[in-house]
Amino acid sequence: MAKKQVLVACGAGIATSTVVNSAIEEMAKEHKIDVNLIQIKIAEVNAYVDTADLLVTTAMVKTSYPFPVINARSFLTGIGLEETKDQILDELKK
Amino acid sequence: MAEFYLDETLVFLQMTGTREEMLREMAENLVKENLVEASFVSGIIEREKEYPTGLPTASSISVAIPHTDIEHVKKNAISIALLQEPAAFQVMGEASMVTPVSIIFMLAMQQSHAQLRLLRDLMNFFQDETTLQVLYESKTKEDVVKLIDRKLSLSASKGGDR
Repeated sequence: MAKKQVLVACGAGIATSTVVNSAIEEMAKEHKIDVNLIQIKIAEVNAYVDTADLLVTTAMVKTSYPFPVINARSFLTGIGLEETKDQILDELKK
Repeated sequence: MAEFYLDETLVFLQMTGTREEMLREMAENLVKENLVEASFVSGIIEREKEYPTGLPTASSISVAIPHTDIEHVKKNAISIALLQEPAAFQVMGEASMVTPVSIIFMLAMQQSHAQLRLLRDLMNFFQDETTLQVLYESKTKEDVVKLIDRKLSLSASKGGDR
């Protein structure tokens, strides 16, 4: 299985993406999945359009991308967190 | 470990006003306390419009975590406002969903990636209904600071550069 490039993005690229990034890192480790996590501002996603496999973000996405986009607000609020984690795992295992 | 500054001067009780007025008041206070640059104020307000930070929680208390780019910040700090009446904030990551926010946590962050522990503690805090309620019902600024100090890994002094 090729190593997936996962973008983790929020508005400023410093606050909520930090929390989400570390949660995914732990999740991947737990499931022994090797993943290339890149923490960025949502405005920087375009630079990765050709290489990314998945975008996980707390910001609103107005553009459509050639990879799936998963909303990560549940990492902050705990509401629906298990579903979000399952969604991400499904993508990582593809 | 990243340190965050919080004292009673950064706490607001019974805050009133429109969303923008309240954000401005909190941000201008951080400027006055010499914790952020003057540009922080417009940074916060513009950022909130573009990337809203309202967060519904498991309890009836919604929160917001306005923040902006690191270049506007002199020192890591957190400012907290308890609102007299909930104010409508747009929900983070949603185009048209609003949530009635009762507590604003304004974050002044100076380094990226360095405040994971504080942020995680903060998110855990949001998931703790009882503590959120206790915070919201705080009667004094001192109570707010004590509660937050106990729950989050703050531990910063303002330093000798005032």
